[in-house]
Amino acid sequence: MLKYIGKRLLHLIPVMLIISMVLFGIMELMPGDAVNAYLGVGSGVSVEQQAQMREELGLNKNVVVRYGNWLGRTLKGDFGKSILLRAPVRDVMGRSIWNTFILNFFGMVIAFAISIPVGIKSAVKKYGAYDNFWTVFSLVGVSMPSFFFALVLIFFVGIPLGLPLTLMRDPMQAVRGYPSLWAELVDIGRHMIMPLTVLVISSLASLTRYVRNSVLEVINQDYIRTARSKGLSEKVVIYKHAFRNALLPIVTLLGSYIPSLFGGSLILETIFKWPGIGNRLHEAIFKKDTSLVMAINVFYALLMLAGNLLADISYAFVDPRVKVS
Amino acid sequence: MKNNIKDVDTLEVAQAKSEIVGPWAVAWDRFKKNKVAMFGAVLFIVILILTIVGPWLSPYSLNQYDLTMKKLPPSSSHWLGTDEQGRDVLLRLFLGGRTSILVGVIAAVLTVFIGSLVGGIAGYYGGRVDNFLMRFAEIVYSIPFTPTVITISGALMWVDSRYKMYLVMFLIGILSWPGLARMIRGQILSLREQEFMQATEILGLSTSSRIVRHLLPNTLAYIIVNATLGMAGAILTEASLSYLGLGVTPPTPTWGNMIQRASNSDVFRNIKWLWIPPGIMIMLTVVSINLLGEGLRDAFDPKEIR
Repeated sequence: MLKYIGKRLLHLIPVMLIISMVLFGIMELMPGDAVNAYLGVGSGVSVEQQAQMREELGLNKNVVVRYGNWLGRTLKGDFGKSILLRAPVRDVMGRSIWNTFILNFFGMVIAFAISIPVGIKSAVKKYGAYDNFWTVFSLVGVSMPSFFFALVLIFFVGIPLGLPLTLMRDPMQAVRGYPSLWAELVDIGRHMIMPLTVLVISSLASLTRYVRNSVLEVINQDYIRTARSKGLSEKVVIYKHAFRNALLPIVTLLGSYIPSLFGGSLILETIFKWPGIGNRLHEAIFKKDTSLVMAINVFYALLMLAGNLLADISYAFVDPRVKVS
Repeated sequence: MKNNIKDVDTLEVAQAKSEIVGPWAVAWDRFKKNKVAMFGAVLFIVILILTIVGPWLSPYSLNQYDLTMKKLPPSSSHWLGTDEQGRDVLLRLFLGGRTSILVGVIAAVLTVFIGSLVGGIAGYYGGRVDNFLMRFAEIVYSIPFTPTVITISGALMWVDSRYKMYLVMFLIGILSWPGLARMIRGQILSLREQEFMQATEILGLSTSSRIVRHLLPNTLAYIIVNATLGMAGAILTEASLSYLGLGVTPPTPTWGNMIQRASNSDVFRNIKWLWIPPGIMIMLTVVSINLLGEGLRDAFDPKEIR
C-alpha cells in the first residue's frame, strides 16, 4: 500500500511539470504584464520606474529563466507575492481556501444527509412515482448549467425574500466590527443561504442517483432474499442488510469528495462573489497576477491527485477483493 | 419489461425465417421502442432544425440595431422582445444556438478522434507504445479540467472573437479524450485476440486498415455513446466559460454569452427575456442529448438482451 502511494506521488512530478509549463507559457502570451495590470492605464508612473519594478520582480528576464526561478522557489515552498493584493500568495490562499471549505463542508453534509434517505427510498420503490420524480429531478439537475440555476434562484427567491446575494459578510458590519462572535456567525450564515442552496441542489442531482444505484446493486442479492424469507421486517431488511452493504460505494465516494471540499465550485463562487479560492483564481486571471494564478493551479492539481488517490485507497480499504497495484 | 419481451420476439421471428439480424438492426429496434430516448432524439432534432432554419425565417438580421425599439418586452413582432440595442432576441437565440451546438459537436468529434486514435494505437501495438501512450493519457487525465480551461482561455482573452470559438472547442477536445482512449484500448486488447483478426492477418491487410476498418468499427457503439454524452458536457462547458466572459465573446452570440448580460443588474432585473430563454434552451438541449445518449447506451448494451 505504501509503495503504491509512493508510486502515485512520483507520478505527480510529470503532471505538475507539464501543467505548470503550459500555464506559465500561456500566461506569457497575455499582452502587457503584471506591472501594467497593477498600475492601470495612465498611472503617471515613469517608464524608468516601471523598468525598475520589473527588475525587482524579475520580470525582465526571459521566460525559461523565470520559469526556472518560479519552479525553484515553489519547490522550496515559497509561492511568491501576489502583486494584486500586495500580500504573500501563501497568506492569500490560506484565507480563501478556508472560506471555500466552510461553504463546501456544509454543502456536502446537507447533500449527503438528503441524498442517502432519498436514494434508498427511490431504490426500494423503483419506477414508482417517488423514484420517477427524483429521476426527472436529477436529469434536469445535471442538464442545467449551475450558473443559470443560480441566476434563476436569485431572481425568483433571493430578491423577493431580500436575502444577501453576494459576498460572505456584510461589508459595513465587517468594517465596523461585529458586536459578538455570534453576530458574525449569523451574518455569514445569512450570506451562505443562496450559494449553499445552489450547491446542495446541484450535488443532489448526481448524488441521489449514485445512492439509488448502489442500493439497487445489493437489493437483488441472494442474502437479501434470505433475510426476507427469514421473516424479518422490511425495515430491518433494508436498513440493516441492504443499506450496510450499499454503504461501501457511498463511503468510497465520500472519501474522494474530501479534497474537492477545498477546491469548491469555481463558477458558483464567482457568481456569488464568495471570497473563496475559485473566485480568487477568476480575479487573478483578469489581473494577470501570475504568481497567484500559478499557485492556485498547482493547488488544484494537488487536490485532483489527492481525490483520485483517496478514491483508490478507500476502495481497496472497504473491499478486500480489490488489490491496489 | 414488456419492451424486452418484444425485442426477443423480433429476434426469434427473424431467426425462424433464418434471416440475419445485424447488431445495428437490433440496436435500432430497441432504440425505437424506448419512448424516453425517442423523445430525446425528436427534441434534439427539433432544436437543431430551429437553430438552422430559424434565422432564415426571421425578418430581422443579426446586427440590425434599432435604438427606437430597445428593451421591448415580447410581442407579436418580436416574439422574445428586443435587447438594449433594439436587436431581436429570438434571432439571436437561434444564432446563439448554432454556435453553442457547433462548439459541442466539434469538441465531441475532436475528443472522439484523439481518443480513438490513441486508444486504437495503444491497444493494437501494446508493449512500449501502449505503455507510453497510456502514461501520457494518465497525465492529461490528472489535469484539473475547469481551472485549467479557465486559466488558459483567460490568458488568451485577447484572441479575436471569431477565433475564440475554435479555441474553446480545441481546449475541451484536447482535455477530454483520455477516458475514451482507455475504454477503446481495453476493448481492442480483447478484440485483437479474436479469430477475425487472425483472418485479417492471413489476408495480409495493412495495419491501418486493420485498425480503422476492422477493430474500431467493433468499438463504434462505445464511441457513439461517448460522443453524444461528451457533446452535452461540451455545451455546458462552453456556456459556463462564455458566461464568465472567458469563452466565445460578443458580437458572436452563444447561449452562454447571452446569459452573461444578466451580470448587468438592470438587464437582470428588468429585461428578463434577455437571459431566461437562452438558459432554458441550454437546459432543453442538454436534456435531449442526455436522453438520447442514455437511450443509445441501453440500445447497444448486449447485457440488456434477456
